[in-house]
Amino acid sequence: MQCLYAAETERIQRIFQYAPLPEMNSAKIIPLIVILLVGLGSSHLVAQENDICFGCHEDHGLKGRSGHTVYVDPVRYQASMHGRGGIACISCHQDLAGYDNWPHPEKLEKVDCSTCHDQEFELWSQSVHGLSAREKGDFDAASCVNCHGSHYITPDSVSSSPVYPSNLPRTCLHCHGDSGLEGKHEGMGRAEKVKLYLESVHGRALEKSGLVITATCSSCHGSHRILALKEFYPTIPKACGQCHARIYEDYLQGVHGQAYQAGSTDIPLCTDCHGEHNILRPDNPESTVSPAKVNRVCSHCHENMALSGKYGFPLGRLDSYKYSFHGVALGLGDLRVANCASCHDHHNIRPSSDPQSTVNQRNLARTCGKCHPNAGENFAEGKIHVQGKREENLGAWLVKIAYLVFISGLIGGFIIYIGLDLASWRRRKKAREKISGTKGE
Amino acid sequence: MDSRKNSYQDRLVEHQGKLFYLRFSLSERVQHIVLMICFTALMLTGIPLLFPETWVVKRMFWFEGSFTLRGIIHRVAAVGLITLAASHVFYCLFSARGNRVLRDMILKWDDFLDPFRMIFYYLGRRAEPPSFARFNFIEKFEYYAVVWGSVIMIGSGVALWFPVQATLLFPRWVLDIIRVIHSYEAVLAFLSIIIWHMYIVHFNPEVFPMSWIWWDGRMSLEFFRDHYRLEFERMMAELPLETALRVREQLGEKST
Repeated sequence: MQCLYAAETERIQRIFQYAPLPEMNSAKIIPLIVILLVGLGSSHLVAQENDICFGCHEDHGLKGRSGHTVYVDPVRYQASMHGRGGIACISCHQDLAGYDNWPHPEKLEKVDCSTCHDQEFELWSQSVHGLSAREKGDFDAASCVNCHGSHYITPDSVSSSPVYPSNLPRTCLHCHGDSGLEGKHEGMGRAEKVKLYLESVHGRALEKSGLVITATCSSCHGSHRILALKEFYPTIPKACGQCHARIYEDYLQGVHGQAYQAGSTDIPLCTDCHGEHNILRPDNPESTVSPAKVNRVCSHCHENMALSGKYGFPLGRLDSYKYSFHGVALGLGDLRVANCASCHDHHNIRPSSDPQSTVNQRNLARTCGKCHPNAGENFAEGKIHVQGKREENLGAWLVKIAYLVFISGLIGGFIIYIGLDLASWRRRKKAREKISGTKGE
Repeated sequence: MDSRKNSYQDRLVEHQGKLFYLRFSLSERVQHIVLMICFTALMLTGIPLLFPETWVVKRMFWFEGSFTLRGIIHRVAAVGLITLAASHVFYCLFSARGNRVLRDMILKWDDFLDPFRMIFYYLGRRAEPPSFARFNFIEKFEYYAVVWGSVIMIGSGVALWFPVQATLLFPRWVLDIIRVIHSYEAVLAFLSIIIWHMYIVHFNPEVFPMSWIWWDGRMSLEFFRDHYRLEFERMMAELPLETALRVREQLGEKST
């Protein structure tokens, strides 16, 4: 028997040694070392104690009084993070430590993961899940087991883990897409959000391209410390900036990013332009920032009377754009022409008074030159957002008025002349008929 | 003028045993057809830009790349119009008939009075309409309108086609004025052709529904005599006796 135990211990140690380890940092490595030492030191004892538990629990047919299975697969347990670490059953089921009056009573204490995972527990306690559970006593709120599982917990780097990136959306959907919970709590019954995510550029990267470094639920919302929308919203640029670092930098330099840093809540965050769960590539025609649609995104705020009054930016930009050749061409389906972002930049948007702005008079020739090669200073000379009003371009206005007067006069004259010609022709015809009639008599 | 070159004799053609006045030579008919095609293409691909939000125009550009195609057609037709204009200049300067046409197009004092005479006639204040030479005042003004309109449209169109090069000469706000000119000149041309040219040449009750002169170039001698009396008389004076007699005979007039 001793020999068998030794072989088992060696097997566990071997697995542990070569197992893919989760991302290491000091916060994780210290408890891991502790577990390792405890595990190695007590593996003989652990195996012995777990053996007692599996004596009953490895029976497939073992059921609780209410009919639910209490079967635990020893092989899967041993392969789990905890099994490999040599964690004993009683390390979690602490109320059975030192118990020897088998079988134990059916009702056991709730497992307290915080005994070891105190940092994660602390983060969870501040989360929308933890607060609901702890303050409102809401047992629907996700706790450790809902995401990580119970006996067969594996690190998030193992593809079978429920928190492995490509499994995560469905793990979250397990509660958030549950129609039974819909309306019961805020943020529930949102299966469509996850579905939108799965069709987004991130979701497709995850599902179609198998790109596990793409953004999943936890990349933006966090894992343990998931915040309620109100608190989460201001952190969005940072969340996106984790991966899109250069764009985050650009954004912070622009007029919107500056206001964001100053704590304004009026300015657009990443999601206000790009969408939330349904983020698509800009070259996807469905994307909110695709050439055909991006102007609408900008106009959402820039044609807003209240915001215009508050920040002093001029209105009527969209109308003036539509008046331009660019606007006409875009409206009729030519997506190559300039839209808002082509001239004003995408993320580093600055007011024209800023010398670094793409639409500052000094930089305009270069900005126009992106599409019109060799555009010179003259090319950028003159108001751009015009609607044919007198004060914008007096020459153009005068020419327009002159033409309108001339055209209406000329066409009016034509019509009068044609009317006279027709009347005269009719008179002559009648006269002819009269003459021929007289002759006929 | 050398009488051998484009004499009146040259302008009479026989068709099915009858004489006709050759109003438009083959070259002129080809020029007119090319102009007609270019004009239609330019209008169809240009005027919609003035009403981009309307249902009809949105339907016009229903397939992907249709707007790009519009631009290509517009520019191809523009090159056609420029080529036509250049060849017309050559035609007027270097062909005998063209040169004669150009001389007959020169405005006379009568051309400014004839509109009023015509209106007086319509109002019953004048017994007879004024007599016209080879081209009446309407035809002359239309011709000059086409020349002037082409110059404006070609000039402004080239500037809009090559905005970067154009702004080497002047600032972009001038280009904005040029765009207004190009737009309204197009409206002017469109309405003039649709309302004026179509009525005067085709839809007026005398020739309704269409005059075929643009196609075969032949004008009946009666029509020529009745509408271009001065030119008819000049022709009769210059024609060889034999031909003049034949014309009179065909018109049922007794020789004097």
